[in-house]
Amino acid sequence: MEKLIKKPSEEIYEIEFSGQFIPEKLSPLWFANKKLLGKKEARQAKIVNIYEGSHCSFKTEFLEIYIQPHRFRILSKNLNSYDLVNDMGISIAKILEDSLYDDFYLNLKLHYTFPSDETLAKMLNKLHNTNQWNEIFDSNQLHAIQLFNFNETETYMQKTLLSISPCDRTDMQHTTHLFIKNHFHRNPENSSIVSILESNEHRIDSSIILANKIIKKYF
Amino acid sequence: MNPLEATTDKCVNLYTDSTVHDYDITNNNSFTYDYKWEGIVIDLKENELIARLIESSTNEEDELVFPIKNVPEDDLELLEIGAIFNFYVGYKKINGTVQNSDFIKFRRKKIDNTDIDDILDTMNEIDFGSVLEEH
Repeated sequence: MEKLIKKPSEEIYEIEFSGQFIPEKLSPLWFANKKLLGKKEARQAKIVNIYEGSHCSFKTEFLEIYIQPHRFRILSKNLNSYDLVNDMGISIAKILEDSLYDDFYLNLKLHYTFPSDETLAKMLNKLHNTNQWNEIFDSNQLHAIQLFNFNETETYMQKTLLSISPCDRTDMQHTTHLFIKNHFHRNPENSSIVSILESNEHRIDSSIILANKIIKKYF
Repeated sequence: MNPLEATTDKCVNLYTDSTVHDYDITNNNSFTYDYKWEGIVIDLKENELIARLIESSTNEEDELVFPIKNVPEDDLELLEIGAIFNFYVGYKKINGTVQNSDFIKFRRKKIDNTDIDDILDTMNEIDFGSVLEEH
């Protein structure tokens, strides 16, 4: 796996499915029954919340699972465990194949903390030439930027969405998001979610390479 | 798909809406790890497993022997020659004290009928019969 050239204050690799799910049914016990978690691992899972018809979220030592009626997310807060996220994602896509829509995401979510608000603002202003706004605002400051890149293959269409924006979390000061979301839309005629996931098991590498380019140039 | 097409049926910004931090931000895992080796079981003895390992960032290879008692109880059913596992090295925080620690985690991936069919197709293509006859 590629390595980030600068250690983030938080790192997340995530697979996000869209579909129709019954959150309360998909408890840690269900995962253990399907052999996706060990029995002890499932028993020791930390339940974040389970609300009937609304949420089921829990954490194990390596993975976090968040299920809502139309979203199913598997994530790890350590990029070294990207393969465990992929294994779980591929297994879920096989078991719940009929519940999935044609779209899913492979996300790299990074948080980078700067020494001060001033250094963070300076970095944000480097992302885009804001001089052209001088006639509108006397003293303008770039708040956030979003870009995407579009790619199409025979079996799927893919959009890479890049977002850099300040983080509003109270536990993180002078921090920015560097989020890279790879949005896949399968061609239902000739591909399955599983086959696209399997052919993109190392997509995290291209996301890290992209993040490194941005870090090197702007951070 | 039009590249500019909306990705949801609601008027939301995927990055600035409340879903940006819709995960538990507390980190209460007991084990924190910085180093990972990817391993494959190449032999099994009564109390030990022998594995070929690759360090995930340097790709350095090594062969190591692990006592089977270090395999988590949950993963014993996955233990066989050819099984793939991760070996993590990090630290544990116990009652405020930091201790070096390591963890073996076997990979779990659901094998479905299509996978089994693919394996059988590949085996048929290889034509083991004629290979055996030659020897």
